[in-house]
Amino acid sequence: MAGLPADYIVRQLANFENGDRSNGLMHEIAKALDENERKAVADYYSHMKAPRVETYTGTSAQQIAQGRGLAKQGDWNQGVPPCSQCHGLEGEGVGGTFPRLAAQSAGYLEKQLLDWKKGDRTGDPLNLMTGVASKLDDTEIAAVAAYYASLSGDKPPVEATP
Amino acid sequence: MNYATAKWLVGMVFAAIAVLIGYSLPHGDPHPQSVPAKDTLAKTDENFRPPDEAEIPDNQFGEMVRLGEQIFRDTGAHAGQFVGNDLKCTNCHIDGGRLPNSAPLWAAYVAFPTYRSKNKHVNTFAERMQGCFRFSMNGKAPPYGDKILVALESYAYFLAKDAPVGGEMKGRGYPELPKAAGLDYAHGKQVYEKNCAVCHGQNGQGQKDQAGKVVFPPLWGARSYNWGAGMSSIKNASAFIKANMPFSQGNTLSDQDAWDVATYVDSQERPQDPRFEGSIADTRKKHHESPLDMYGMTVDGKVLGENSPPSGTVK
Repeated sequence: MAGLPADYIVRQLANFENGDRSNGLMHEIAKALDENERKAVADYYSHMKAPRVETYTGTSAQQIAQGRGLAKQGDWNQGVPPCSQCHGLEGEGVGGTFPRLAAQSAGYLEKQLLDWKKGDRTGDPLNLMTGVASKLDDTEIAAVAAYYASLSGDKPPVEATP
Repeated sequence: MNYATAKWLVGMVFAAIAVLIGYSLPHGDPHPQSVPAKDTLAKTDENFRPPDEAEIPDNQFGEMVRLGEQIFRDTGAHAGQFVGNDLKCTNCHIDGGRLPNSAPLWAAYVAFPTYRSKNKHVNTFAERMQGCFRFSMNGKAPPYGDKILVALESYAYFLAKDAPVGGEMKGRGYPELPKAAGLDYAHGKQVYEKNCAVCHGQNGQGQKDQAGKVVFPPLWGARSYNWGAGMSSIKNASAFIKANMPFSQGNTLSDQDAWDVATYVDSQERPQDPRFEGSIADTRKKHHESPLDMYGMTVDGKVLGENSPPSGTVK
């Protein structure tokens, strides 16, 4: 969560409460937090520096290359846009809506994509992620998760310009 | 027999001789099965598939193709001296000019030279690209022979490998929408706020990263396309939007939503038409006389074009 935009974290807490994100534990926690507490915790995490991942050894160079291709070029023959088009060139995240992907754990990213694909996570603007995830197969999901996990997260998050 | 007929006859004779010579040469293709018939494309419903990047040759031509692709994908960074706004070629020609129905380069390349009513003469591909810089990029036209144009043309030529010159290409341009019963600006604003603002911003300003790199392109205002751009016509904008927006969700808006949101976007102020004729009225009369063009029309009490930022604002 470190370095994610505060708006984004507040929205995710709401999504845990209303069930758009399905997670029993987080549902109870989110329910117990009032609006001010949510803002405070979101503010706290948003000001933390994103962790720096020194090495990521969870995968092969080939898998990372496949993930990089999806991240940078997409696969338009399947209607898949590049992740970087919305999440920033290096996955830094853009504004309060498109969270940082760089240096997120591969397991987390993979689970989120699978959740969107299965419909266990919703509440994304315009169902953008549901649409993208549904066009990816499990190998592609693992590859793109591995690619972003392999990037260092020390780039500052991108603020939206007014 | 007049001169034209004579010339035609001579041409036919030469063509016939060429065909005869062609047939008399040995046909030594060892793998005839692997070569698709030349007209396969026309007979199928398949989209044309441009060659993969890996097929760019490792020689001087390949270098020029690669430069062209770089310019196409990040125009300000590689052709900044001709760019006056925050757009990139690939904003309106998605996937680096590869995507069908997003005005793909491979279809454009084989459609030139052609007569254009916009400037009332026959345009080469290079001149067409000069127009992109002057209008869509709100910049300046690179001179003929400039490396920028050579690189872009090389890239387009590479993508169009085996495309039929002058032939019909499925997926060319943006698929035109059936005529709308009417255009609804207020409804277009609602469609915009619901579907577009998340990326392009409440005021069409787009979004940049901290280094000043544009992530989501501005749709109006000083850093967007000017009043001379094709996209400033509601006809073009609605067709582009319908097929390609929201990004990755093409063909999900209704036709009417696409018409109305295009009306909303193209009813906002943007840089002046570089062909400005001295007055808004004259400029409209000469270049914008269409119910699908808002230049010179009054919206929210203001005449569009009157408060336009300058055109051709190259740094």
